[in-house]
Amino acid sequence: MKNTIKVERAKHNMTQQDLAEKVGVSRQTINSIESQKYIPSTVLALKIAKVFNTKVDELFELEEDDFL
Amino acid sequence: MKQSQAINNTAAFFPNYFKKIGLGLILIAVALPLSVKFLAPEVIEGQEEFYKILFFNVLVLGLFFVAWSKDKFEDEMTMQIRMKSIGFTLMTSVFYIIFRPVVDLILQDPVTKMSAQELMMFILFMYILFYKLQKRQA
Repeated sequence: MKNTIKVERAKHNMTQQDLAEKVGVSRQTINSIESQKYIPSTVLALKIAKVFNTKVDELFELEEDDFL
Repeated sequence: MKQSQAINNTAAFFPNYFKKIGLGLILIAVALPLSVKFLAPEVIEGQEEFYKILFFNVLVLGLFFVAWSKDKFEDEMTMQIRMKSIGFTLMTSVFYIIFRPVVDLILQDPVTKMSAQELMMFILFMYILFYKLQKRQA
């Protein structure tokens, strides 16, 4: 699953640590989400979307592999 | 940092300071029997089996505290890593039980019964190892 968190962070001039503190997870978790090693829960995805004032499906996009 | 209940579901774990208590117990369980054996072997004379069980139990308790206490920062990814580590540990433990006697046979060692302490130590050690490795890779 692709995501645009890194892009949104850059737009909002935010570091991984800033975002992590806002959504209540570790910086390592944000890094893992950005590098697509970890898929966040619905609650965390909604919280991240709220921080960037956007919708979850604009932040996260399913890839072909996700349908296998 | 305060976390929402949906993300922070780690209530079943010991607080972070239990890691230090666990490490202390491990140190005691390793250092004390060694020093008694070399410095005052007469203390345990005749009761070797009792002291062996006692120190193994202390070691198991120490490993359990280290394995089952929270990290400084716990979140949903930490929980997922824990779940994966428990799965890997279960798998390796089953293989360990099955293949250890085979290895004994190959090495022409006497095939002995595995004690509960030995198995529990293996389980806890593997869990800690898998958890640390996966956390580093995350």
